[in-house]
Amino acid sequence: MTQNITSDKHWIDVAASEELEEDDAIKVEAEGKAIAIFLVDNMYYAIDDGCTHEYASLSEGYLEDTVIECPLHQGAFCIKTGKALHAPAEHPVGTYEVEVKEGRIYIRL
Amino acid sequence: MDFKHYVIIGAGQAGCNAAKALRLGDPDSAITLIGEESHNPYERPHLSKGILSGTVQKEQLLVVNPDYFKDNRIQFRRSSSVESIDPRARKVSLANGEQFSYSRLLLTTGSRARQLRIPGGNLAGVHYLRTLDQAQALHDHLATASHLVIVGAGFIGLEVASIAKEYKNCTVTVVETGDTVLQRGVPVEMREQIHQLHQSHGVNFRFGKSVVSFLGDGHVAKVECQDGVTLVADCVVVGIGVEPRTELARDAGLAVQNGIVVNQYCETSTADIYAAGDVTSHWNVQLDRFIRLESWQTAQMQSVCAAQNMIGAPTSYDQIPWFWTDQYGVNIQLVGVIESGQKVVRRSYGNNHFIYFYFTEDKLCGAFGFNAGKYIRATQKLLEKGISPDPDFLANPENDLRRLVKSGSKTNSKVE
Repeated sequence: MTQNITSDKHWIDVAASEELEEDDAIKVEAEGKAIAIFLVDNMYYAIDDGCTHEYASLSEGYLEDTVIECPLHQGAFCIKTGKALHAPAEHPVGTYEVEVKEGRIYIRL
Repeated sequence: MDFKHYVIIGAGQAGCNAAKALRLGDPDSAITLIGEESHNPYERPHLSKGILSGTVQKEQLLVVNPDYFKDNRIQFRRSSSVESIDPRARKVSLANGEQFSYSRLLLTTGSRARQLRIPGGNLAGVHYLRTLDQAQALHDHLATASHLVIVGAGFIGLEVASIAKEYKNCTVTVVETGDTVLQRGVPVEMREQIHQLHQSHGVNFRFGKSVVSFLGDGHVAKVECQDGVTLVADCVVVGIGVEPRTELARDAGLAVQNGIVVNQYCETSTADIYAAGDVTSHWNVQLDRFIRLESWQTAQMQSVCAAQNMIGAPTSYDQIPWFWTDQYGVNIQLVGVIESGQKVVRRSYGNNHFIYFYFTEDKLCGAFGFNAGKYIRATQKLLEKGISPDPDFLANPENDLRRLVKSGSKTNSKVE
């Protein structure tokens, strides 16, 4: 997959990898979608940035291991699967493949 | 006999969540959920926010989807009021004469809006805000209202003021007997910040004044204050607090003091009767005292805790109190218990983006923030773990609170 990054039109360059620190999140825009990218234990994860409970930016939330909690009402999601883990969130968020190559972060839409 | 019949009185967020947790933990039991309202169980936070603004539909408030009760063999009795509980016979009697025998009973009867009993209190256009029907009626009325008067500067009144200013085209005046907003349970800095937020949006306040009557011919037209001032009003909202619905419990002989008294296991003073949510005055292990909290958190979490105890898995309710309100697009959160006069430090990220930390005798006890949910959550975890950082450390926005949470160990565990 990695070797196709530059040729596959579905991979989108969204940020420099140095913008994202370990155990943290950034919000990026790709084709009009707001996406949160996380780096936990050297693994990258990407999910929809908008909480499914009410609009809030998950990249602004509280990250613990691979669980992100919405900053508004503490609804929680798994950043690996997008699954809603804790009320008031009930519906999952979308997940995206992430690759890092030559200092750039790519996600597949 | 292992077969159990769990009966739950009160079908709000707490009652419905308890039913869910009981079903999960005890798949073979019988469960009956009894509620007075005709609606399926719903969450109330949006009644004073998204339902009023029209940005949230009532279907979005439902605790479970409409098929849930049938699919999970839960007997849901809507539009039903309970007449009495007989703890000796273990029976619940409905107003229509029907009776249910229980093996364990849960009371999640919640609160009711405190009524303002003054002349004109029954005029059309005088609203209370506790139920979905009331919220929808107020939403409809606000669409055409020109002059809104709100009695009481508590959270309900302020959230209504915020919606009216943001989404509706009317003047807003808040009349409050106290000398500022939010007289109960929040620190002075939070009052000041929220007061300023409302002033900057053009809300008029009349502090230190009480309302003595509503005037009008069938429909409210004026609000008369005790200082003789009369306010023009075609829409009035009374938000002067709630009262726990303890009558059934009291009549059944349960201990009641500022709510139904329960221990950390949600047990009332009577065997096999439990209580959860707004209605409880509960022992909080973290705080080492009884507390009654009217909040989403109590409805959500304590009900599940009660269900676990009813099933036979002893679980202590020890959540650090946490609360949110949304006003003018600002998410405001409060965590912990903050008494007046405590030491405070501010951590600021800019306009409407800050957090205040509070200390009792140099020990972190709580915080509130504007648009700072991430830091409030970190504070909640610090409190849970009994970690009390240096105030100067907390005040510096560069310092990482999550790292502190991870590095700390639980130091304030108590031996039961």
